[in-house]
Order: sequence, then structure tokens, then C-alpha cells
Amino acid sequence: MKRLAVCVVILCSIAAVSVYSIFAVEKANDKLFRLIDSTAQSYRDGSENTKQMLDELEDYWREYYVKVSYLSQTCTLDDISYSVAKLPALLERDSEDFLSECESIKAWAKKIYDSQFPHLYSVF
Amino acid sequence: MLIVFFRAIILYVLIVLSMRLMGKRQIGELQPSELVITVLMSNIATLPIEDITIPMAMGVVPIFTLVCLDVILSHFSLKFRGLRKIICGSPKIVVSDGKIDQKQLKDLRFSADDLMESLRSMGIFDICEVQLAVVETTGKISVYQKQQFRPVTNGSMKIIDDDEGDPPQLVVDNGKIIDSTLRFIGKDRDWLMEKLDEKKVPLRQVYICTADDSGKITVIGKEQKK
Repeated sequence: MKRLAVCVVILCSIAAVSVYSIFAVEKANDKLFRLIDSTAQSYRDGSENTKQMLDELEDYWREYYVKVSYLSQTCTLDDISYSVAKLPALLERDSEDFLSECESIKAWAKKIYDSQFPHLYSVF
Repeated sequence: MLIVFFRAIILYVLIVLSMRLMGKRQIGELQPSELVITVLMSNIATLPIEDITIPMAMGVVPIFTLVCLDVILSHFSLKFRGLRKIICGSPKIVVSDGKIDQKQLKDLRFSADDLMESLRSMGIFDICEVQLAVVETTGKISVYQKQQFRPVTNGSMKIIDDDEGDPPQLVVDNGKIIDSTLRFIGKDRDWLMEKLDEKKVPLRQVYICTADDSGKITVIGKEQKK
């Protein structure tokens, strides 16, 4: 009976942590998207704050990487890391690719979030 | 490299824990569902060890989910016979009164060789000696021999020993007293120390000491270092 109770507790904990992980990724994505949007907007406006915002985005990305690496394959996160690493150089060259790179980071992050949901196509 | 090393240690501990959670039955005999879990577990555990891009959670979560489900399912199968039949199957009689049920053997995909091999492993070389043979849910064959071929037992010879008790238990292992077995035979540390004093063997010099509930004690001392 004790063993059964332990198993029920473990199963419930796994279910709870799994549900919590969805919200954790959602929260992390929200902040990441906000930072990307504000950096992209600042770039479009030609603001001098863009560099500072980009630094903030890079700092947050490191935090995001650690958080999400517990839940997602690190190769996906590495792909986003490459995009984030490209941003300062693109900003310096004032390249048009800066905005598309920001969008690709958002798309990758959204993909990670979507992968947390047990859709029919992902289960079977 | 260090990541793999740490992951291997963590997963080793987790798998040992999960095997303990499955219970002793797991180690002794594998029911179909338990065999599936064991095979799956060994496969899942290797994934996060080999591939460091996979998070540990991807190995830990399925292992514990499978083990917990198995324990819960086996708990319910104890309560519900129907469920037990679905999960574990039911024993099948393959030999009755020395006659092989060929259809049953075919259904079980057991060859005559398999059957004879199992019988031989039990010391039975002639199928005519078998009264009843049952293929258990674990795949093991249990045999009940015909009366004339069964070994003589104390019961059949009407030899009854009224003083029969539990066999001797290990009460000291390498100089350390095992309180649980002492309690089991209804004795305590004082009694044990008294007995060891009688035998003039100090506790730390005892390699093995066994005792039974009648008070019979056997002491094997440690070998002296040369």
C-alpha cells in the first residue's frame, strides 16, 4: 500500500511538473517576445537605445537557455543561440537581416512552446 | 565527457530506485507487463546518457511513469481477477494424466522439445510420469507427478516432528548485531551477549553467528590475520 501511495504521488508530481513546464515556457517566451519586439521596434525607429536593448535581450537569452534546457533538446536552443549571436553584428552593419533574424528567434521559441503540448500529431 | 559521467551516475541511482519501487517480484519472475517495462527502461535510460542534447527529464519522466503505472496496475490486478487475466494471462494445462494437449501447446507456441526440456530440467525424463503440467503466466512449466513417481516425503511416511521451528537466523554479521532477526527469534542483545560470553568469543571477533528460537547458537569466528 505504501508503494502504491509513493507511485501515485510520483505520477501526480510528474503530471504537475509537466503542466507547470508549459506555463514556465509560456512565461519565458512572453518575456523573450517582449524583448525582441521592443528591440525590433527600437531598430525600426532608429533609436540609440537599440544596442542597450539588444544587450538586455542577450542577457535574457542566457537565462532562457538554462531554464528551457531542462525541457527541450539543446540542439534546438543552440539554433536560437546562433541567431542571437548574429544580432550584434547585424545591428552594427545596419543589415536588413536584423529584423528577419529577430523573427526567426521568435519562430524557434514558439516552436519550443508548441512542442510542450501533447497534440494528437505529436503523440502519435 | 563529465556530463555523461554524471548522467550515468544519476540514472543508475534512479533505475535502482525504480526497480526497488517495482518490488521483489520483479527480480524473481517477470510477468509480461514487467518484461515490457524492464526492456523499455533499459532502452530509455541509455538515450539521455548517450545523447547529451536530450534533457535528463526526457529519461527520468518516462522511466518513473512506466514504473508507477506498472505498480498501480499490478495493485489493481491483485484486486480484480479479470484485469489480472488481461495483463498477465492465465496458466494453461499442457499435460493432463500423461497426455499432452497438443492444441494448447500449439496455441502457446511451445514445441514438444520445449516441453521435454522443461521436464528434464525437473528430473523427469518420461512424460508418462506426469499427472499434470501447467505453463504458468511467466512461461515456466510446473509439474505434478503421478503418485507412484513422487518422492517420498516425511508426511507420506507419517514422520512428524512436533518440535519443528524456524530455521536458524543470522544474528551477527561480521561483528555487527542484526536486531531485526534477533527480534524475529524472540531474543534480545543481552541474551546474545550472554551466549557469546559463554562461548568466550568477543562480538568483534564474530564473523557469523546464527541462532534459532530454541536458543541454539552457532558461532563462526573471524580468521586470524597471518
